[in-house]
Amino acid sequence: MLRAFMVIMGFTLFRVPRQPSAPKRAFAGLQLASILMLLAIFVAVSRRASGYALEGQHWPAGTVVTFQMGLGSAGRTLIDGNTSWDTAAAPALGTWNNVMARLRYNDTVTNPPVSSGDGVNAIVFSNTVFGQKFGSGTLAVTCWRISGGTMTEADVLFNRNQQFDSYRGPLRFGSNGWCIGDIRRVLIHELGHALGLDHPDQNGQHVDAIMNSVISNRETLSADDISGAQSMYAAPTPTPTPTPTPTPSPSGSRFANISTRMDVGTGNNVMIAGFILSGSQSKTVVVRALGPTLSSYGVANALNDPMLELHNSSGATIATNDDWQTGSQASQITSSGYAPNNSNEPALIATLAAGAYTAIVRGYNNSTGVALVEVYELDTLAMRLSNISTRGQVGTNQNVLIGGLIISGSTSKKLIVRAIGPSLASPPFSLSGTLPNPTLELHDGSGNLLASNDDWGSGTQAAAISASGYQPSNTKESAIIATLASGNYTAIVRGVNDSTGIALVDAYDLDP
Amino acid sequence: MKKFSRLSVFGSFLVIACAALATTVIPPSFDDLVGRAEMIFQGTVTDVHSEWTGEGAQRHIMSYVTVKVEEAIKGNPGASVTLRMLGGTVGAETMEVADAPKFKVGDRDILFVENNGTQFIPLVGIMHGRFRVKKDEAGRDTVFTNEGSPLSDLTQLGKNEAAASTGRAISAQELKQAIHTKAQAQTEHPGH
Repeated sequence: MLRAFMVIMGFTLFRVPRQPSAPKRAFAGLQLASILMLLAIFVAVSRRASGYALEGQHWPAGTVVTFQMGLGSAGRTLIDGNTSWDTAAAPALGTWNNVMARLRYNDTVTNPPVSSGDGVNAIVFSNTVFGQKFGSGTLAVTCWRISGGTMTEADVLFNRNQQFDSYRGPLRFGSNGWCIGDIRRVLIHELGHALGLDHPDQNGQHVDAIMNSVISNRETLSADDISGAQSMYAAPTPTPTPTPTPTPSPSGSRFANISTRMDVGTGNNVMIAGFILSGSQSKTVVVRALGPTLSSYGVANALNDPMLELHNSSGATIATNDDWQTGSQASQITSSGYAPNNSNEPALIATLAAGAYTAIVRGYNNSTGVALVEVYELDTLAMRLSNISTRGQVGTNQNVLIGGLIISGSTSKKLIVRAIGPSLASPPFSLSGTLPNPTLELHDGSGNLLASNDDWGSGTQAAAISASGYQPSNTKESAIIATLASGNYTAIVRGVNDSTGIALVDAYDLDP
Repeated sequence: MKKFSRLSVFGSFLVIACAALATTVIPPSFDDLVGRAEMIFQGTVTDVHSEWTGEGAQRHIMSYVTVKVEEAIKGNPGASVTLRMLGGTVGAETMEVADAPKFKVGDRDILFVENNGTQFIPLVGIMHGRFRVKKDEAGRDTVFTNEGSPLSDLTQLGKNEAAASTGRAISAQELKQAIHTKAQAQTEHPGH
């Protein structure tokens, strides 16, 4: 388990593939047959694969098309965890923005008029198409205005009387056998029309495209969709991220990365990771959550589709992401070098002022499993990551709580690592089911145990811990002060006698 | 036999995926087309014009497509029908609706009409309610979809639009006969 975690942190590990059992081999044969058929179909389709279709008009180069989104509250929790239609659908705009240079979609959440010709680009639910019936079976309609040969307005109207939700993955169907419209993929398609793209499959083309007239399991852009958009609005030129002049860190070492891994549940048991930025300047960080990637390192029961939210200290949502490639920052994340390996994993880049922040990781559609949340510095400014904390359910074996640190720099760093349990039952947390007696271990990058502690007041470091100002408030809680050289480290929280419950692991920079 | 079973399993998956629904419109089956249409007829477009209509927020461009009815298949369309459709061009101003069929004078079509005057495009399933009639090499009237693909298999409409257009176009006579048969069955056994 620990070794698997360390692989994520940059270590190597060999795994021996398992031989499938006899019944599994038969199934594997079936899978192989399906794969071969898929390949054959892919080859056949590829030979014909060319050609998006254009409506014939487009926006002037350089236009910023601002949509007023007024889809409103869903009034329930959607399959992907969103509660707002606007939040669920908004990534559709970024999906197109990522591939175009000469047009940009912006959005503002408001309550726009449902009208055409008013100069307002609206995305709304409506009972009618500007006063006319939708007709049964119509999910959404896109209308645009052209004046003097130039597009001047586009409106996307979703039929309020149809069944919508927001979900990733294959199409889902209601009890009536009809497709449940995934609002994001429908909006990606409709925004393609608003760009000037037509249905390739209705123009003699046979390509994989979200712009095809038939909704499918495709939920984001294909190469053909991108080619179509870029034929009108050009491909973006990657611009290198400006590199600020580094200001030396007050100490010669720093937290370059902090991460934690745990079993993500639902409700109070989702993964809640906090970090503190200290200093006087802003800092740009990458926050990402890994789930499926952990499987490839031998972690059992990895969270299949994690979702990530970033909140500030007041609880306000700063950014969210489900799948990193579908967000508006996909190209930046790729450029950062921290793009997750799996398309189901979320990541976001944020430039943050000094303060405390919280990253929440939950499973898509309330799924559960082991996930890892990480924060990486993207600059080396004096402002620094000074704390990481993660709260979650501590189980046994692979489901204990694990925190990771990367320390970079030429000098050692002094820090305190803590395992908090029973005090979470008190305000401001007021949680039930807390871990009654957490233990703490600190390991180096090779898995060697550097230090351990059960009750912080009973160890040899009790006085130093008190003097640090970070002493736990409950005597059953654990803490370790260590001075660590540059390298990778992990902190593991378990319950005494394999007890389980909610706990928090955190680390604070003790250097001035 | 085992090989066939595997093909069947995989084939079923493809059918389910492709039988999914259009992003804008759920494609109607042939049953839906006939059942939902208030009138079905074959005709030739004789006039298309657009004009501004409505006031304030509901001021739009509407197009009026007049079709001379050559053969009524369901309902009583009369000698001609004028379809009222959202969108069109007036002067330098165009209002366009994605997926709306575009008509021009001389077009020959078999049309499945519903809610004319109140629905933004008064055809069953929007573009799916229009079938174009074209002569083949032998001078026979044959049927194509709104997008110009041959209509070859009525049973695949609403299930697998690609499969419905794989093969030679059926004749207009075959389509009209199938409509008559289906309409009669629906009258005799409503709900089936």
